[in-house]
Amino acid sequence: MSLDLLAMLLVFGLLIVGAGLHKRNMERIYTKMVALSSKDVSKKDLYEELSAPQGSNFNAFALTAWILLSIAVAYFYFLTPRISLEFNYLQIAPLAKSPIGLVTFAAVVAFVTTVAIVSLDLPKVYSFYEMPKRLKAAIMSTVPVLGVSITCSTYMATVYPPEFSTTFISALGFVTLFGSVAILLSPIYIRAMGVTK
Amino acid sequence: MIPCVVGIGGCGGKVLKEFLRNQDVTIRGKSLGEHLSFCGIKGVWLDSATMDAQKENFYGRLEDGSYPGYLIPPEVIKDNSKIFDYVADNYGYDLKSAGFDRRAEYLKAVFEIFETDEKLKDIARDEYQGEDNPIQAYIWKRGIRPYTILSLVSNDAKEGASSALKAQRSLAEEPEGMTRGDEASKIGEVETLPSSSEKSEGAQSKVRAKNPLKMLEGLSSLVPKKTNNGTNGSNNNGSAQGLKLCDSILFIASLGGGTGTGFINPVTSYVRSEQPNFPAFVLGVLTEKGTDDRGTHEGQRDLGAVIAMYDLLTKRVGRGVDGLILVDNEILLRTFEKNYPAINRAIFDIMKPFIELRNYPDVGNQGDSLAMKRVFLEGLKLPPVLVPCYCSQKRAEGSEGDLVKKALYGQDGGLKLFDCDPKRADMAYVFTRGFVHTDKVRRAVHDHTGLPDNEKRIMVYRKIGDHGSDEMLILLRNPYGEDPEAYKKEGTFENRVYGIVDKGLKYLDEKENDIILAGMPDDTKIALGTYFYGESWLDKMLKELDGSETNKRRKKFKKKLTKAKSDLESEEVQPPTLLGELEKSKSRLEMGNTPAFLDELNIFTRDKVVSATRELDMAQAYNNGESSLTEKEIRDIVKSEIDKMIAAGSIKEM
Repeated sequence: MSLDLLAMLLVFGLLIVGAGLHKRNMERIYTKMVALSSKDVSKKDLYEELSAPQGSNFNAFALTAWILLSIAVAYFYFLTPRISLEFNYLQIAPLAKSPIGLVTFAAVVAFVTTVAIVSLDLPKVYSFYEMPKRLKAAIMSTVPVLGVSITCSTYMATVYPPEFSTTFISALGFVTLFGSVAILLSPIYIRAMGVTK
Repeated sequence: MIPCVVGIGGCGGKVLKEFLRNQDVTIRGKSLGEHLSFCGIKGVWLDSATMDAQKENFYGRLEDGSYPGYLIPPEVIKDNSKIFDYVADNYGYDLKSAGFDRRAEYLKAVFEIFETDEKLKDIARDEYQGEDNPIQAYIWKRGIRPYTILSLVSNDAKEGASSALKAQRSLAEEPEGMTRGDEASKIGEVETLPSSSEKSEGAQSKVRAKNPLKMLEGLSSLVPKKTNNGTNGSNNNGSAQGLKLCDSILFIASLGGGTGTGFINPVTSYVRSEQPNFPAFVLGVLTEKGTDDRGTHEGQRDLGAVIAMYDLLTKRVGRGVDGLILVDNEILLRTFEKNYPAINRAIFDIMKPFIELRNYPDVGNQGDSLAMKRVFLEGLKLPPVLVPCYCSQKRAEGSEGDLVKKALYGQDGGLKLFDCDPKRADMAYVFTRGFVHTDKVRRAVHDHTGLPDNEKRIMVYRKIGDHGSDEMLILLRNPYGEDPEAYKKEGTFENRVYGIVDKGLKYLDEKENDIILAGMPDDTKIALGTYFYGESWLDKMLKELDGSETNKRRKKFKKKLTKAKSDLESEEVQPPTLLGELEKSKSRLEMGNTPAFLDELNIFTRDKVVSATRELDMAQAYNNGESSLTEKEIRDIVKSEIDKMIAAGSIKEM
């Protein structure tokens, strides 16, 4: 297995485990609530009570971060034939030769992500978690961090011969990407650790 | 409940800051979003010292449209105000006094003057058309009401607290002769309070909802637009929670600190005249022992504290506040080693379970403010003292007993915020955040307090909390009495209160010249002298003035004193004095009686108050078939009953 594939599995693994843990967190809260309640508790009612506003600044930054994350993932793995020779940006000729190809590619990814986020009501997920301001600030900081990842990927794809070590650029791109995913999912992981106690 | 938290004075402002801190992220303190405080609570800081307020970066001027904002109530008094001159000339009080008047009775006297002096009321109505007391109106209409659900029944509240000038103009533009009751009924389109259980057929029935959506109309215009971190003042981030307005008031003030509690009763009574049932609670921070940072001696602060507590706790149910949550700064200073920011933070943390909105889904909205008011006052004629006991610990199965024990005894991380014996409480209200079992909590409270293990005496309100920890706040109602030796025992409520009363009395005895200032007008001196000391002070003054008939001014004063003395002697029942009532309070504490404070005291309206002690005596006489009531006493009883009915909303004042 190539390092690139391993790195991709790590990022997606983190996302999938995060989704699973979120589901488990909610299930555990529900189970506890049922055990402590005198009457039947519907999940809908519980989620309504559980939800707390996190602030419009935070919501805007979190949404931006998730859209940028999808762009960063797409750029990191699909801008160059890193994972697959067939499925990558360079194989889409109209995009690859267009002067605004990269922007178009990012816009398409952003649009698809936005539709997915809105239809799955993902911003609501954060409202279930109690987040101290420092954690919110960390999530906010993923926006510029993901910008670094996107820049690294773009550099790798467009500058030839590279002025800097491709290993370094690639590693930097991966670390910023992986770190951002970890930070964006951290409320879920932290809660999972707390709930299990 | 979503309280509008009103911080009063220096202490109130600092604690309030913790309640209003923006929970949202900002970039270098700047934000494009809306201000998000814990559970959507809103608030305002009232201070009378502009200099102090201007030093604060957290608050901006409410009059400039800032949020969180501060309000300087005396600023509503115009520079060339006739009421300013009148009060200064006739009573010797400076209405625009730049704050920090350590005399505990200062604000009490000022507000009473407006209540009693008909001529002053006339002048005030002319100057600030329609308002008897512009300071009260300003605090309520500009500082507090825009954040409450009551703003929905008033058009002028929608203007928001944008500027002092605007406020003055608005007061002036109110239609002449329109009373506050008229104002509420004039709007009359929307429901004023959310709980159907509390609706009476009185004033509230005139403000029924025609369309619930109307409650949401124009919300964005109700609160100041500009926040001090660049955010919008309204707390609407798209969630249902963000749209809510406050359904109660929580005053935070230092007892005996300075500006303190002088604003609380007048503002509450003003609110009550508009909406009799609107809940108002007080979080009072009792002054520490010794000399404070500003060099004010303990005795003076204790006198201030005891007057503040006395005034808050002797206003009858429906007329005054609905509960005094008492916190002893001495305990906080000891626990947090004089780390004031940590103390302010701790007070906020302790109150979180009380304010938290996220209820267990099976019980719904169990802790709305009207329900809280009702249970706090259940079976009482006077507002209760509520002693907070708090504990927070890492979540663990079956931790209920542990949490209760630590909270009630203030041990192992628990905090009991005022000395008391939990076994003396007549009720316990338990607020939790986290995962706890109601029955286990109730059983543990029963084990440690001896209260009956039922939901009428031990009420448990469970809320959803932070991950990883469980929190518990227990409010013990009136945890004192029955033990005649308690006042001698360290760590009891009686002991702490007895100590304050005793020191206050000593100060009264030793510092008479600091209390009744030589430069005051004669009438004010006499009013204060009789309020503090009664007939003995009049005798003393008369004795001092013996042989001074040649001095015109002294002669005039002597004449007034003689008249005051004869008026007093003609009273069938001698009006209570602070000195006398505090002596009585000491005796009550020594005998283990409750409540510690009984008779309402006023400086300028002494004949208007029916003594609670006398009322009890009269009731006793009636029960014994004795017809000892005079016509005046019957009048007083009838008036008192009518006042209660007005306060309860059963009848409406014309």
